[in-house]
Amino acid sequence: MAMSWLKQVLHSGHFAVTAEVGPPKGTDTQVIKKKCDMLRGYVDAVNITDNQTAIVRMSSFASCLIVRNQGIEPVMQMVTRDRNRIALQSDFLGACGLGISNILCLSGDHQSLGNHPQSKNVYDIDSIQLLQIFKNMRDQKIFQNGEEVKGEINVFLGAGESPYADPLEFRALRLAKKIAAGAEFIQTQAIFDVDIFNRWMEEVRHLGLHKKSYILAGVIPVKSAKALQYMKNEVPGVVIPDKLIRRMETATDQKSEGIEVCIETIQKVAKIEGVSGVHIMAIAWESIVPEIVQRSGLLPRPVKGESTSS
Amino acid sequence: MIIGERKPIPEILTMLGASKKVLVLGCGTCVTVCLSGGDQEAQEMAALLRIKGYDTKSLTVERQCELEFINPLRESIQSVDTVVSLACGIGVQALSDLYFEKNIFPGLNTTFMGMPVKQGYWEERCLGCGNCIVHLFGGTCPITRCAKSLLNGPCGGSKEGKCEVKPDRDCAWQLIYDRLKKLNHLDWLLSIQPPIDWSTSRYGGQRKMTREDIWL
Amino acid sequence: MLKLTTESLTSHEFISITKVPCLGWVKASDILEILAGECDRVLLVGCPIDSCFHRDGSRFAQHRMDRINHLLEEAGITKQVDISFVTTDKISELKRTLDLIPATPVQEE
Repeated sequence: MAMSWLKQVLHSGHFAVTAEVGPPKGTDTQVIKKKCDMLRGYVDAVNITDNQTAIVRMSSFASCLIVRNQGIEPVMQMVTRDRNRIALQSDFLGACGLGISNILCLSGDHQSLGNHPQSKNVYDIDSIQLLQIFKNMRDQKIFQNGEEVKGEINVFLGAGESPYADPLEFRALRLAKKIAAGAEFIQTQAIFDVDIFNRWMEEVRHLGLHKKSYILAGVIPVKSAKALQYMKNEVPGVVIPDKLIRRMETATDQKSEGIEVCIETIQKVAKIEGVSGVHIMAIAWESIVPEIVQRSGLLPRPVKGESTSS
Repeated sequence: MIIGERKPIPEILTMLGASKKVLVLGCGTCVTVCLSGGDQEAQEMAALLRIKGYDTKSLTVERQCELEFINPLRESIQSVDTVVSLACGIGVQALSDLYFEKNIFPGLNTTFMGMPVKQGYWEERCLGCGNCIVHLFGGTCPITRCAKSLLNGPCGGSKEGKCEVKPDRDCAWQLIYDRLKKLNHLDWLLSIQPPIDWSTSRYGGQRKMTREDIWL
Repeated sequence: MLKLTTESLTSHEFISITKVPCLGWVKASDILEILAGECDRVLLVGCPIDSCFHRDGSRFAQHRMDRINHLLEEAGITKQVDISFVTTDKISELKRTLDLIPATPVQEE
C-alpha cells in the first residue's frame, strides 16, 4: 500500500497545492472525470466533499475512487453529521483497503442548513474524536471499542480549522487539540485578511504546531463583490476586510480582480513561516484553478514516481 | 420542566372529527408553568370548542402522569366521546393506557426539557442523556446546547457568541469557554473528551428506573 | 365590559355591560365563555395603556385580546374581540350615549 502522495510532497518540503471538487447531485461520473481533467498536473491532491452544506450529492467515498482511478490523489472528506462510529470506522476500512490514502475529518454543516432539513442528524462523535479513532486504528490497530483491526492501514489524516471563528482566543489551542488527536495536515477556512491570519500563525508557531502538522492556507477565488459580501454576511469563520470589498466593487472586471486577489493572497501566505501549502476552494469554478496555480508561480508540480492505477 | 406548545387548532379540529361530547383535560404541573396546558388554557380550549359546536367541558388535575390523579376521572371520561389532553406526551399516554377504550387526543406538541430564561421565553437545557457531565463544561451542557453535541467544540460556525444553526441562540462553546475562563479552568478544554456513551440515552432504548425498596 | 350582539359596531345593540375593576382582571377564558354564548363580539373598554391605574392591566388586556383573536382566526371563527382605551371624560360620554338607547329585546342570530 503506497504512502499518501500528499504526505510525500509535504514531507519533501514542497509547497503543496490542493483543490476541492464537489461531487454531482446525480449519478454521472463524467462530471467528476471532467473536473479531474481540468486539475490534472496543477494540484497534488483533490478534496472530495462529503454532502457539503448538508446537500445530498454522490458520496465522497465513491467519488474518491473515481478520482483515484483518474490518476489524481483524492482527499476523502468525512463528516460526523450523517454516520455513527460504526459506519465511519467501516467506511474507513473500505477507503484504506481500496487505496484512498488521505482522510479529512470534519463535524459537518448541520442538516438544518441543507436541502433535507427534516432529517435526523447523527453527531455520534465529533471531528476530534474521529481523528483519534482513525489514528488508533492505524497506529495501534484497534477499533474504538479496543478490538483488533486486521490489515494494513496507511493513511494521512487531516482536519479543518477556522482561524477567525469565535472564540478567537481559543482557536490555536483547538488546533493543538486536533493535532494531538491525530491531525497531520490542516486545511484552513478561506483567508481574505492576511494580517489576521498572520497573527494566528504567530500563535500557532508559538505553540510549535507548525512543526507537528502541515498547515495549508485556504483560499477562495471570488467572481464578484456581491459574492464577497455574501460570504462576509452569511459564512461564519470568514473575515473579509471592507477595503477588499471596495476594491472588488470599483474594479472594471470583477472576475479578473477576484482572480488577482486570490493569487496575491496565495503569494502572501506562502511567505508566512509555518504555512506548508495552499488549499484552493474554487467552488463551482474548478476551471480557474490551473490559471491561479500557474500565475501564483506554483508550477511545475512534483511528479509521482510510482503508478497510481487501481 | 417539560415544555409543550398547543397544537394548531385546525389540527385539533381534524382529530375531533365527528365527536360530539368532548372533555378538555388540563394538567397542573409543567404545562401550567409554561402556560400551555393548565387550567386557564383548558377553559379557553373548551370555550373555543363550544363555539365550534362541540359539547365541551374542561377539568384539570394535579398531574396527568400519575395514576392517583387520573384514576378518579373515570366517570367524567366515560360520559364523553373524546378527551383532548393538554398534558405532555407522558400524560396523554398515561390516560390512553388507563382509558384505552376512549379517544384520547394530544392537544399539545411536547417539545423539550427546559426552563424560563426570562418571562415568556423558555429554552431547552437537558436532553436526558443519562450520564450528566455538565460539571466538566462549567455547567453548560454541550450535548443539549451545542447543535452538533460536540464534546470538543467549538466548530467553525460560532459567530459573536451565537450558533450559526440557530442564530438567536448562544453558541454553547462560547458559554463554556467564558465560564471556564472565569473559573480559571481553561486547561480542562485541552484534554480530548472521549466519545459519549449513548447507551444510557434514549438511543439505547426506552429507559426505566426502579426503586424496589418502596415496592408494596 | 360591553357585549354586543350585532356584527357591526355602529348598530349598537347592547345586551349588557359588565363592570370590572381593571381590564387586567379579565381572563381570556372569560371572554371566550362570553363568545361561546350569544355574543359575536366583545368590546373591552378601559384606561389607556400608559395610564392604567394598576400599571399593566390595559397592556395585558391588549395582549390577551390579540391572542384570543388569533385563536379565533385559527379556529375559523368569525367572532372577534375589540378594545377601546378611553379616559374618564370619554367614559361619561359613553354612559350618556348608552342611557339614551332604549332597551331592546335580545336579537337571535
